[in-house]
Amino acid sequence: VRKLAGPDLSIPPRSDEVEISVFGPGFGESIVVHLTGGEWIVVDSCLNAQTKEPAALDYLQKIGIDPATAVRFVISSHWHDDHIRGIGKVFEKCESARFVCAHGLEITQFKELIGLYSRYFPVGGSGIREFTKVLSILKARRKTDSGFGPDFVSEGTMLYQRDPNARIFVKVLSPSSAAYLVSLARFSESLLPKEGQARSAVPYLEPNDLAIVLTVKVEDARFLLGADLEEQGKADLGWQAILDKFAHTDTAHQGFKIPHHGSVTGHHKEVWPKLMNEEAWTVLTPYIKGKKPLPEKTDVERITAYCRYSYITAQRAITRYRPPDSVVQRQLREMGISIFEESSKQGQVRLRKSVSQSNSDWTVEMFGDACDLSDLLQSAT
Amino acid sequence: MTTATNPPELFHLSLTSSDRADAPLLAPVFWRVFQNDTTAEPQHSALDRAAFELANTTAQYVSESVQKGPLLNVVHLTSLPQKSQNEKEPGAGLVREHSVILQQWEGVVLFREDESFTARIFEGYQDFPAKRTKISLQEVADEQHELVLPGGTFSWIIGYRIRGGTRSRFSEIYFRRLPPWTKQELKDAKTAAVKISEEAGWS
Repeated sequence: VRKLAGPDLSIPPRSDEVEISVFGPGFGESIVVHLTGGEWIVVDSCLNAQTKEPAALDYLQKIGIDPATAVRFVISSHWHDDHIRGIGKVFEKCESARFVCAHGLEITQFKELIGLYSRYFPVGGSGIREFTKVLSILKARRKTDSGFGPDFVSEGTMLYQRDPNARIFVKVLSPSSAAYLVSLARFSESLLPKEGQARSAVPYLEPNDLAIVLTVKVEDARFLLGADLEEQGKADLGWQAILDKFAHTDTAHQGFKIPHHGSVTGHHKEVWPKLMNEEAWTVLTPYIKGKKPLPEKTDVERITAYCRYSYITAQRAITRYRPPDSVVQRQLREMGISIFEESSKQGQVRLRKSVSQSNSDWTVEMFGDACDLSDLLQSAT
Repeated sequence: MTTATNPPELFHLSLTSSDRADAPLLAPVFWRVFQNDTTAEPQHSALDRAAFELANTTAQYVSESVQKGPLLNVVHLTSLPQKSQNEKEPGAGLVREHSVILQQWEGVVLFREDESFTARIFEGYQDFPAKRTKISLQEVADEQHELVLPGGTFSWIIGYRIRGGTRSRFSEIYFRRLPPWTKQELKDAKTAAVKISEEAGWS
């Protein structure tokens, strides 16, 4: 991997260049992939904290790409708030794209959940709101000849294949069949409320078994997009399921979008030896949700021990927020309360590789708050 | 939004201005809060010098608009003199009080620990960019601790209150005791699911 000096955000990839750009503020993740030949896919969405527009659309516009014609698929890897914010707008602008989500979300219970919360509980999360927008777009498009329903995908689905020799394809490695059954039970037992049950915001569904993991191959370039898939040590679920089914066919990835923001819960020790190339690069996005921001120091040490080329889209997942009013500041100080912003820092890691020259290097460019992952260790000391 | 503590004269109220673009989204939640607290929903936002009676209570207040803004109207509520056996003169015992809200957040609980909870908070109903914070359970009234659960929603206001010539800062966290899901709502959701399948091809 070669780091480019003087990166210029506005230069689009050449037609023969594959690109993966990962965007991530402290809370959110979005990816755009150039499959060469002017065809793109968008995986997940987050907002730019400054423009409040979807980061993927902002970027495509900056490099002169028209999302209406260039984007083939808008993929929602899972419906957590940090991966879905703004995806309705992304899909709206990507007029010729198909919407892709996990097999399991077509169940009646999920539709009931959307119907219930979009109407009777309009606060506290963007997942339902974004899906409601996607549904309204699908509905409008179905009235025209170009309208399609969503694509529900699962392990083994060949989402895209440009040529009969499979030199360029996007293939789905997760969710597994077992994950579908587990999630079906969770929807019924935990997510969809029952009569008389206390009203609250939609509970977080964890662990996330329904995340869409993709392997992307463009000529001799190959990389793995790990979404937020976690590992629970159970056969047929998470990374173990992928290893069992694809470790012999989908190997030697040169790049890895690390799952679940580098958390140990997304780590499986066999992924590196069985799925990755020795010189693979990795990219991850930070996250605050739980008790500690991700990645933790131990996560950074683990990941950098596996690979030489690791990047993160934002140096800090959180920044301290100071309310503008001094009286409010004083009150918070006396209460011993600190407030942190989720999305004040944003960055982009862009990797490109020419596929018309064999064995060409990957190049990496970093924008905004992005940095080498190892820089986090230095700043922590 | 309304918060109330005993005695009843320490009651203050703020209204969401109806000219906000997202006001229709807010109304159902707020309405239910009022309903659940067995307090009457104000019928109009122009409460200047209007008196209204709280449902299921005998307390009456005189309200006076103190501050009108794009997001909130701050209303000064003064308890009417309580009639006693001695039939005091009108105005006797009247305590004037008003509150100025400097900051208001809406919040959703992410998780609860032994002595605190962590929540996402946002201003108005724009949940981006959101903020998050850890708040001691001591900041929440004991009777509301049962509501501090993942997904629980609350309102948090910080401001100062002027009462009887004194001024004091306050922070109030008020958890919404929302009504339980009803049979009709769940039935409506099933109908919505069928429509989603038919109209959006989501099946």
